[in-house]
Parts: sequence; C-alpha cells; structure tokens
Amino acid sequence: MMRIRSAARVIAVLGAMPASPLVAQDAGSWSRGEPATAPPPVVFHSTMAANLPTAETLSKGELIFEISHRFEPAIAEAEDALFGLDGPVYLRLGLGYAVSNRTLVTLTRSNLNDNYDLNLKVRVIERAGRVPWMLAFAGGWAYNAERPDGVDRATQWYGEAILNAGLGERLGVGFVPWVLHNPDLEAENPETTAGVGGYLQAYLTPQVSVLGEWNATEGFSDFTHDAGTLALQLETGGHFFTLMVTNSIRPNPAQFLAGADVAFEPGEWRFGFNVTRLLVF
Amino acid sequence: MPARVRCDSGRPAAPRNLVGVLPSLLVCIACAPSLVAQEYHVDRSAARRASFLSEAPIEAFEGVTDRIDGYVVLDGDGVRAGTAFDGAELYFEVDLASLDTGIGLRNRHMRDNYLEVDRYPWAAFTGTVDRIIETPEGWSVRSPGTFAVHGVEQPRVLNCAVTDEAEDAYRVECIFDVSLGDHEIEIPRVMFLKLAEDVRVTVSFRLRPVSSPDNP
Repeated sequence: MMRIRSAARVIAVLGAMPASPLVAQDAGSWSRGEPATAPPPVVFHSTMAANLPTAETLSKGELIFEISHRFEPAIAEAEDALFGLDGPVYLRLGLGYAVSNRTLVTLTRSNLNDNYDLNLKVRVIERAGRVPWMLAFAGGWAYNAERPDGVDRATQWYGEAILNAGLGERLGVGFVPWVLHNPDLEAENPETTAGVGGYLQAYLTPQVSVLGEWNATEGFSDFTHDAGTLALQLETGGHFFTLMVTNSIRPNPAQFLAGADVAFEPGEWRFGFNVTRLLVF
Repeated sequence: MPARVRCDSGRPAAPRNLVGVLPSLLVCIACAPSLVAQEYHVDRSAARRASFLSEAPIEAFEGVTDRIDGYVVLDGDGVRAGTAFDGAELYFEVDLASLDTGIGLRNRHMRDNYLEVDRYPWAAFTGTVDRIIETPEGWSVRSPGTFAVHGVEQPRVLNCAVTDEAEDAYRVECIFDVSLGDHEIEIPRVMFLKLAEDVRVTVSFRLRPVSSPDNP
C-alpha cells in the first residue's frame, strides 16, 4: 500500500509540473495551426563580392550607398607611394534602391572616364535546402562623359547571369557569366565580348569573411589580363567593409569586366576598398 | 506537461494488484481536471501581435510578428476573481522567423546570427496560473512558468492584463523583459551599440473558448 501511495504522489507531482516549452505543446484539442515560417535562403550576405555582383538583393524600399576606392600605385611602391595609399585613386560612388524584394536599381559613378552606370538586378529564383542557391540577372548601361581625345563612342552595355550556391553553412560560391559591348572605348570598332567571373567566400564568423574573386576575360589592347582580387569583408549592422588587394583598378562594371592592364602578381597588387551602408527612411 | 486525457467514463476500474492500480491512478489523475476545465485557444482570426523592443545606445528598433498561437486552460467558467487555479495552464509560442524589424538585413542578422531560427524556430512560454485579481479594466493574471528561446529555458513570472473582448472572448496582453544573455544569445562586441542586452517582449492575442464555432 505504501508503494501505491508513493507512486501516486510521483505521478501527481510530475503531472503538475509545467512542461518544457522547447517541446511542441498539445492541449486537449489545441495543435499548432501554422508551421514555422521558413527563413529565406541565404548564400552571400552582401549584394556584391569585391567587384562582381551577388544574387542577393535588399528588401523593398531600402537604399544602399556605396563608396569605393582603387589606389593606382602598387602596394609594392612602399617608399614612393606609401604602399599605394598616396594615390591617385579611382573613386566610385553609388546609390541603389530596392524597387521590390527582388529588384535592385543602382546608379554609380566612377571618376575613370566619368563613367555613369545604371544597373538593374533581378533575383528570379532561390531555393533553400542542403545546397541553397539562387539565380539573378543583371544588366547595365554606362555613359562615359569624359573620353580620350578623338573617341566618339560614349556608351557601353553589359548583361550578367549570377548563380550563387551555399556549400555548408560558411562557404558560398558564385559564377557570373557576362557579355559586354564596347569594352575598349579606344578600339577602332565597337566589339561585343563575353567572359565569366567567379568568387568563393568563406564566412569565418557572422561578421568576418574572406573571399577570392576572378574574372576571366578575352583580353583587349590595354586590358590583356584577367582580374583577380583577394578580400576581407567585415559586416556590422548595416555596413559592409571590403578591404582588398587586386590587379584591377577599374571600378564600374563595364570597366571592370573588360579586364586588367597588369597581371595578378604580388608586385602588381593594388589596395582597394568598398564601403556600403544600408539606408532606410 | 500534464497530458490531458479524454475519459469516456469517470468510473475507475477496481484495482486487483499493483500493475492494475498504476494505470488507473494515472488515468484518473489526468482526467479529473478535464471534467471541469474550460479550454481557450488563441483566436487566429483576430488581431495577434508579438513584438520585442531593443533600445541600444545608438539604435532602437522593434521586431514584430502576428504569428503567435497557444492556449489557456482554466477551471470553472472562465476568468473570474474566484476562478480555481488547480490545473490551469497558459501556453503561447511565437514563430521567430516571421519577426520583421523593418530592415531586411537586420531580419537576417536576427534570424541567423542571434536567434538561430533554423535550429530554434519557436519562442514559447509554458506556465500555470496562480493569481487572478480584478482591475478596473478587467483582470490581472499572474502566471509563473518557463520561457524558452534559443533553446534555453528560464523560469519567469508573467503578469498579464486580461479584458473582455466580444462574447466569451478575452484579450490577453503580457509584457516582460528578456535578457538575451540568459538565453545564451551572444551579441558581438561590435553590435553592442545597436542591439540591447535586455529587450522588452509584448504579446497580445484574443482567446476564445474551444466550443466557439469561430475557433474550432
């Protein structure tokens, strides 16, 4: 009889304890009516790698401001140009606006040829899962307000397909096949060329990542080299700081895609950075 | 949690030995409160809101969602000063991935960096009711229990305001503070100025008795 009383006491005590809220609850007739919201897939955190775009966009109504520098002297010019920081520098300023959650319109200006670039990026599909991936298309039209003497062709255009995939929780890879019209303003005739860019980014922590980027080009009169970049990206609430070494100092898309005029060798590396700030009004 | 078992008959079986006695005891203990308990569910057709407010030195923002659900079980006819508390339960849960802070990038930071919603999709409170006090607006209900978020449970006592809303329905509003550190949610040093260590959580929902045709 004693054992029965003890058992009943234990059962009563257990029954009166509130259950763990970590376990889905069930009252007599209550059950969870709606499943948990599936978070949207994330591959890359920023809307751009170092120079190439990612498939990431912003939320509707958000703005993004960008200021980027590419220092012309090589880092190897340590004494003469303070590791290249003495400049001169190519500067890019940009402002983007998210027309929708999938559509980003960006206007940028580079002081190289006073290049004004209007860019439209649309993310068309994304999928979650073990290998989250997303696909976006981007296109842009550029106008060079300042041109070398005797150059009449002022406009360029380009199109990009952007395929991004996540490899595990901390690694993202991107491929950007592209087409570019009029890559060399000084060429006798306008050409249309194609190439492919790619990047790999490793997120060491939620705030810190490293990335490598490569853009394979056909090669033109002054831009015979592929463009390579190694970068460190720091992410805070609303800011991305991307510090890089690169052999490309041509900031805007129609300029960068054409190629680099020096090889990607340590002696030719230049310092550069991008800073973007998310703005919400 | 005390499982709520439906009984077709309140007549206990005659125990013959220990093996027979234990199941009978279990069934009767579980059934006894349900014979008089009234169950209420969160009315998903009415306004629902769960939010947290972060007030850090250089940034204040609110995360909001309407994805809150749950139930209340009370003895007697409902919330009254004389309502019996034995067997009373309060449970609600919030779908964390649906929280909207107004900025997409910040939403992602909340989901991925802090709340880790892929592993811990719900924040939930489970409690009992140990006091109901009449107020000029309605009732103040005290509910000691456990709040869980980010996979970490902490004991917490909620004081909720309950008011009449429509026929047989109640509006419940609970406000309580949550320390992110208590739930092992780490704030990177660089973010301390933008995300507060202590956030104020507010939940508001309407309860309807389960017999209501609007809330089957």
